[in-house]
Amino acid sequence: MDQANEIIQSLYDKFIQNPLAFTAFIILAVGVYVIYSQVDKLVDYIPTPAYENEQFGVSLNRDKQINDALEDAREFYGADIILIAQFHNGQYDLTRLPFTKVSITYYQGNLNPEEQDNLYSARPLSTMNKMMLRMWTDKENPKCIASRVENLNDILYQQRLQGMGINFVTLCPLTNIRNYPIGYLSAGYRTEETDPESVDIILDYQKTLAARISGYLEEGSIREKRD
Amino acid sequence: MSCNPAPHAVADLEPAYSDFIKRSKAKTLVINRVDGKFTQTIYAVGKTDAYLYVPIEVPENFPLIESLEYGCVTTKISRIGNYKEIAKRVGITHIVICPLEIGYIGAGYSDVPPIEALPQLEELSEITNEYI
Repeated sequence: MDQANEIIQSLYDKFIQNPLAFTAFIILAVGVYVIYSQVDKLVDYIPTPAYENEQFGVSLNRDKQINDALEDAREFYGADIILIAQFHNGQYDLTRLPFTKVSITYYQGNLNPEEQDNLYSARPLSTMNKMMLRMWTDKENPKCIASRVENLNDILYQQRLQGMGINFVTLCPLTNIRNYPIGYLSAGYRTEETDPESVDIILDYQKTLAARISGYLEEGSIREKRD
Repeated sequence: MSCNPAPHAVADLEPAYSDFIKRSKAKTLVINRVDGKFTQTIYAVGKTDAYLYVPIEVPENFPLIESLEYGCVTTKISRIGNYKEIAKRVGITHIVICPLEIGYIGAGYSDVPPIEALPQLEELSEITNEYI
């Protein structure tokens, strides 16, 4: 009992000498104790190597599905290139407005090395403004479009496609489950596609493919957020 | 799994299926029922040795089956493990499949399918849905 009294007196004296430092020390000591006592629960939130490897495997499989789907579609369409471009704001986040840039994230095609220059570089979305406005005329129901490259009004985008040797292009919007724009799916042709019926069939199929790709991308996005 | 659920309905549609094969240059046409983890061919016409009514197990979350949720799909047969050997024997290299309420309808080709195959098979799937 005497010892306890001495300890309490000593602590009180120290508090009187320097209240601020003493209080900070007490808060720190309590904090360390709380963390120490909860460390078992914290471990549950720290990803383990096995978990991270599994997630990486899932991501690789998703990319394979998308690449396979694009390869099959390119063969079916008779296209020279087919790609997915996703909107972003210049940082790693691909899902937040306002979008200022677009980057190609998946590509299948037969471009020469010279034609692939800067293929994956981020571009300002403004360079495709008129095409975007055509696709998203109806914000609730964006549509697929087709155009000869020579008729494009977005000059920089036109020059980019011409640099790849592409003369005809189709684009379909990619949206997530809430109809939120996330990018576009595009097929490019070196020859000009002139048969309107074939173009209609391609656009129809591309719309289905875009929905499928959006599903794969959405699944990946949901997994990332869950983690 | 049950046997052919609607033999008379399929027999009624046989002229449509045969006509499709001729128009689209498909080698074969099959109708498959998908029931949980299993798929079962309930009808086949053309160059095929598909084992009717024999259930084949498909892996969980099989991408091709899941993709039917969005519409018709075209793919190389080499991507589908379960059917690779069967298709190789009859010379099928590509397939187009469209969703049905009971599963899917698929057409097999010995080369890249013509672009018109898609709307033709879509139309056939709509007709089939009405009967089965």
